[in-house]
Amino acid sequence: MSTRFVDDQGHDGLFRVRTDVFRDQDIFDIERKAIFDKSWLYVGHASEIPDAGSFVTRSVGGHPVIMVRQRDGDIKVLFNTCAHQSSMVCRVPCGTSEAFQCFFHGWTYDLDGSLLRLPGEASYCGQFTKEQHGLAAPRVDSYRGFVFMCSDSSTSSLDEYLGQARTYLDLVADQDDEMVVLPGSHKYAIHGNWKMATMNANDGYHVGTTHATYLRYLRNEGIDVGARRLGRRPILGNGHTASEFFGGWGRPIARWAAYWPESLKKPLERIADGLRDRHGEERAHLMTDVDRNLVIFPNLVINDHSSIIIRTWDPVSPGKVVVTGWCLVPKEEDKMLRALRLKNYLTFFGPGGFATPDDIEALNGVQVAFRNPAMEWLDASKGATFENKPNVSDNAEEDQTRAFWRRWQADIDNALEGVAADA
Amino acid sequence: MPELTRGAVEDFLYYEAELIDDWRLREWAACFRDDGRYIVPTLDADPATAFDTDPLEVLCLIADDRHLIDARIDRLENIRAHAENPRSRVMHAITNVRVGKQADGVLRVLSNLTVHRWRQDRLDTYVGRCLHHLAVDDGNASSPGISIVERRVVLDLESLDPVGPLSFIL
Repeated sequence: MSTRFVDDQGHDGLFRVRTDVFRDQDIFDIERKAIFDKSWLYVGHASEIPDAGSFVTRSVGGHPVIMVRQRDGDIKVLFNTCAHQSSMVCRVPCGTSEAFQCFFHGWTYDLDGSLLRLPGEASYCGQFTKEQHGLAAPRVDSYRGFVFMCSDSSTSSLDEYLGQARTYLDLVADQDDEMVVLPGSHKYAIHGNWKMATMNANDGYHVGTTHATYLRYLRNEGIDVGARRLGRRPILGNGHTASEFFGGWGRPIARWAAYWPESLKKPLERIADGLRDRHGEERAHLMTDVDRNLVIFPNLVINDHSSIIIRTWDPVSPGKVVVTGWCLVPKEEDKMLRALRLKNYLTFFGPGGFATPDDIEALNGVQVAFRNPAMEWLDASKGATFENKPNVSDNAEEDQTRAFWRRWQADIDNALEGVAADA
Repeated sequence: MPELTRGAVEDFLYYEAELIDDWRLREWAACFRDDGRYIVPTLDADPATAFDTDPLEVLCLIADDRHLIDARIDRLENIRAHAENPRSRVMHAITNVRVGKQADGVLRVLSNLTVHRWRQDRLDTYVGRCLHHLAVDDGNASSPGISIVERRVVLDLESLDPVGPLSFIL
């Protein structure tokens, strides 16, 4: 099998990807090691675990983990696997605890994963030490409240990995003194490949057709959909990308729109003034006026437009990915703005929204329709000859998709070269 | 306000289910009072409070006021609501109807709900409890004598991972 999965003739206007990378189990297994075990993966937001001992459990890059607040305020991520016989130590989604006890044989771990107690300890002697039998842990680091883990010791620091994307996380984190994730999440499956989900997040091309009924809803609300314009498509390095645009909707931070009550104009102006004072004219403008999507390679998406949604996905198989979405809000927010923010969120996002179900439908269909043997390539050529230049037809060139695939191919190449060198 | 008998309440719930299963969604929407709401809490919401949370303050899966119920239906009647084109075949089964107390002219009714949904080679089963706040009133052509003040479906699923999205009416 050739390992040249991405056919990049972008300078000549052609960019395509072999469709077996969406279906093949061997490629999926390579991706687990070459991408998910090498990258910094989003685990959760610091506000989800406010107090010492508060924790959440989830699957990140296929690994069951516990994200837990330490007594000193630090955050740790532990693999949720007992050091004794690999039982799942913590089996509830969230809570607050002094320690974690595996029910299988009763081994008990401290919040930092170190082994505190084990029944029949006197029987363990010789080579066995408690110090060697704590819960294993990936590297963990956070940026502005966004907590990431990395299973590989050779990967660069989180700061270096995020690179230019940090500026975009700042634009979210700086919107209030304290940004917090609301209780509750949306967790659902796409019966499609995880890479299609990542591509979908910064794809402006599908909006007009896939989300025709969402746009109709906006128009019926009196929102100027045609105002979706002036896009930029920043390529941020390391496979991270963004898109910037002006949707016609109101931004709860802090862009009033004509379909909102007049009484909100003043409170929103006050928020915008505060942001200008704290962050200067230019950054305040980016926070209040500009809508953006941010994709952190390989599987984190932050949509900061009509509301803020944090989404990440956990690939299960080549044909299935489980998505979790959270709503990020300023901790203290005007009651009416909070309600409008949630309305913006739910009318677009999630399995009951007016837009997300149509994305799921598209991605599910791709996975079925790929089965045709004639479908050897997936195309992503739109705008390939004028990357980083102004748009030609709309704000929907596929620069971000190509940036994703270039990084993907590089990671796969690195892994396969490693295998060849070892052989 | 006249008392509603168990029989009248059950008849109404079965009638509402029939409207949803038959995709007579305009008639279904007409069962709601003008300030009526259709709410589905998130699946990780605390079951102890999921029936009482304020959808203007916490994240839900669906938190439609009457205006959004109409917008949802406007979308679903459009052939470009791709997730429901072709439409799901849906069947609601309602059991264990418990008629609660009436207060301020509003009656609390709890029922158990099983929804089977068949679409694109998949059969999904959604189970949960349904809380209706019902008002007795003059009614209208679709909804003789009873209006829905709130219809809240608390799903007893841990996540939507095993089933399809909530693109139909639950």
